[in-house]
Amino acid sequence: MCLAAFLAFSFFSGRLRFFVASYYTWMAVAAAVALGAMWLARRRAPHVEACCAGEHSHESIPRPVCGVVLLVPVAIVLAVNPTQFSSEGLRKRKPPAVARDPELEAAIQWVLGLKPTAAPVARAATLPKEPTLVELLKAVDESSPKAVEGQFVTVVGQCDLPQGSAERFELYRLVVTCCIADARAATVEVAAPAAAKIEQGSWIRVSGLIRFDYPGDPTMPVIHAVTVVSIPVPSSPYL
Amino acid sequence: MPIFSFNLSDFVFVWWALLYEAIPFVVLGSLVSGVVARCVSREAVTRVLPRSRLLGIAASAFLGLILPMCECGIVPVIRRLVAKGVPVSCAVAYMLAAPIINPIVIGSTVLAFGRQNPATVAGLRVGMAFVVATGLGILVWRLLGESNVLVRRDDGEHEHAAHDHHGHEGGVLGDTLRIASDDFLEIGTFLVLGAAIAAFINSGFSRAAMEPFAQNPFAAVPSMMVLAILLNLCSEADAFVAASFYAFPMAAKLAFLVLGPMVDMKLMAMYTTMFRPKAIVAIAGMVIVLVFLLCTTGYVWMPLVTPGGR
Repeated sequence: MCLAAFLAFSFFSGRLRFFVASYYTWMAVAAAVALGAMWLARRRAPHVEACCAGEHSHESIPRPVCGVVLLVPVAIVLAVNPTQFSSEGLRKRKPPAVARDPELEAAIQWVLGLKPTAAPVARAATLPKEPTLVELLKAVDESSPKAVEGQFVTVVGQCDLPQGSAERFELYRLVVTCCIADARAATVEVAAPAAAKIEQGSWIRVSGLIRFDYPGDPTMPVIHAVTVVSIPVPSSPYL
Repeated sequence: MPIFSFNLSDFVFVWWALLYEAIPFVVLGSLVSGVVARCVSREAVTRVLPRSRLLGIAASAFLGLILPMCECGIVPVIRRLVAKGVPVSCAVAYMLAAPIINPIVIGSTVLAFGRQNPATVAGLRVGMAFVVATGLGILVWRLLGESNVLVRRDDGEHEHAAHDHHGHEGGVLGDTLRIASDDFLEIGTFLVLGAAIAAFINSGFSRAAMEPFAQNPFAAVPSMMVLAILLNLCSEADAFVAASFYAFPMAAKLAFLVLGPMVDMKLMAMYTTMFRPKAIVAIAGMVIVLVFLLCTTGYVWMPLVTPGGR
């Protein structure tokens, strides 16, 4: 019953949206209702359990121990109360970089008798005025850096200040399918105006021009920001 | 950045994310288990099973298309099905295949690999899951012995539906809910412990550590298999993570997609409610070997079955 109450509390307090994708939140409520019904069913006919007690010798763990194991995480999460990853935890969620070896790939294709992969066609990409970070990265990936270079965009995300510097930082948004255990970080670099005052992990709206002047990776978009504005946490924090 | 580091807040964050995600499915699985226990007789189960065991194992591998369950919710269901007389080999085939061969996961795989041959990836994933699941079913049947793998309990003999007092005292709904609550308490306990181990690794492991393995065909497959076991992702979400690992070859991504829903830390903790430890090691070991063989040889055969490959 405590677990059911905690699930319901998590939903109604809004904390659940930080842990799972938005369309998953209602499932916790359904689970809370089902757990409540199970508890009521046990309360209404406790004698059934008593008369079956001898036959239920298959319980591998005593019931009080089960209760404690289920409730300890509730106490821990209420004490720690996490709502986002630490900056290091976030950096761990970046997928491995693509380090392709075209010559090796061509050799493998030749050995397997495959057709050579066609080079990506550079075509103009039309971005929405306020694209998500995923839309922005997808446009770069599907067309070419040149196709989106110079476009003025406004994007929303959280900032990661590697050395505490607000002049050059990463803007990220977590892409979550089910829960944050499967989160992948979509990131772009931001070159911000010197006056920008932002804190590590805070939510911001960045407006500026897209350039490709990231040292060491000419495919990484860099937003040369004109404005950087702090905003409240969106209702759906994940993409 | 270090390959692994611990942060309490990140650990609790991922631990509860896994629990919030998995608890509804374990509750659902427990309710299905309660319904099976209360409303389905042994005779009915025996009637619908094919007489040929081989056919039964193969059919069980496709049962997820009709009774889709994710890997968290499936454990209470197969426990109850085995108690109702379903052969363990068929239950193992269903347990391993259903988290992959079901409409939701097939759909999510197609969606995730939108620009990377989605139909081929989904087809290969389903095909390989079928081969591994039926292979394991046959191995449990012929090699391990069906009676040797289960934890010895009264579970098999204790048929809730056979008890008159269950039927009369609580009614169908009351009995179903009570049985479900028993199952949930036991499996939920192992879920919490398994999710804690899973969260410890998931929150501490840096994905960038996989970079050196991406371009080495011999290291790519085993490294993605290790990642699948360590990350403990839901089968509905793992395709999106695999698709984001652009640097890895398709064979390695498929190893991740086929192995993850069958063997991971959280699942192995939950399997202990049904299988003996030695049987879990044997089943997990054989799944790993089969997936490894299929995927490493995949560099040769996958291009042959991929449209436009030749």
